[in-house]
Amino acid sequence: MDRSEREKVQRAMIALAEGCRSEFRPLFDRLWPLLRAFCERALRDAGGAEDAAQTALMKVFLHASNFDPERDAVSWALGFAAHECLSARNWRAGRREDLGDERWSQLPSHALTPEEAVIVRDLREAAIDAVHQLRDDDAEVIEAVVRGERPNASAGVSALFRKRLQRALVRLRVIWRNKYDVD
Amino acid sequence: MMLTEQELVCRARWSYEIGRVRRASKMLLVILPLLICAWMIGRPAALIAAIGTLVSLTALGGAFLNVQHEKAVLVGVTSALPALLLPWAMRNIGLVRISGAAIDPCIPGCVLAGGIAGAAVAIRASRERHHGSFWLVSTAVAAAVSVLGCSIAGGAGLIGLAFGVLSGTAPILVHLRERG
Repeated sequence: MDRSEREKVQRAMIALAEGCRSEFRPLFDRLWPLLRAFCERALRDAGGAEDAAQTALMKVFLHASNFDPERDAVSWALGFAAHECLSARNWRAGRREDLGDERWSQLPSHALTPEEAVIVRDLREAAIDAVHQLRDDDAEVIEAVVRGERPNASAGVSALFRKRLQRALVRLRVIWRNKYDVD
Repeated sequence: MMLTEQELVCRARWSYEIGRVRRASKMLLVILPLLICAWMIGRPAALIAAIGTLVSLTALGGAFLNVQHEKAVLVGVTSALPALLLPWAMRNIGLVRISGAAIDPCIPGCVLAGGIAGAAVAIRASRERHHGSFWLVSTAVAAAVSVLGCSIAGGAGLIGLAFGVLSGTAPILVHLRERG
């Protein structure tokens, strides 16, 4: 969502909080796709995401009259969506425990918040995208390290592998910097 | 549960209206202590019930509609507090004798309190964007609450109150008209 769109949501939310009902539909049209997209990215389950987004939307409008104009409306609305996603994930985790499979209960279901999970997923996708832009032999070295496959042969082969890995990482860093403007 | 977009819009709208009702209901936290106060200073139960119902409905309706009307109700109630308490306080003084004539101090008290209420409401309304509707709601609430206090002095008290409200409001209205 770009800045102008964000400002439109902010203005509409402030007007709705003051009782200006004509802003209801424009706000709905902007918030609903935003909340649905957020929940889909956080849950990766179309049905569950739809339910979570609907519940979040109802809560946003239920509390819209008490919206504080000092707060950012988009973040405020996404806060409801994040809470619903977290509840949905916890509920799913609890249901797995009820089914009696102990391996599920050992999974760290509370490890990441929905926002953190989305960030981690985006970072992972960005890293994979950057690796795909490397030359094939550089990409092979990095993928071998990620898979935990290191040459276990003589000292000479191992040193050569380390050298190749170092060069591949330097090139990867350059690609990353050019693409995202960060180190 | 999969809903069509139209169903979702309806449900979201209901949620919003329920939220507004919840917000409006908080106005009772202001109105009820006021009515208890009126009962404690000995105002008749029938009058309290009638005016309480009127003020509560206005307050709930105003706060449900929008924040501007909610503020108008709060300004009306606040500016009418002197008119609620001043006549009662002056009644305790008893009749005052000035050059041989006995005067009920409640009547000048009502004029004074009415003037304060009228001026306070008009000044506050002049700062609002839709000052006409703000003034109307605020004055209606202020008048209703003031009647609770000024009816101690009977009909003369109410006439004094009306005179006070008009004389407090008039200069502000004239100023507003001049400003355009």
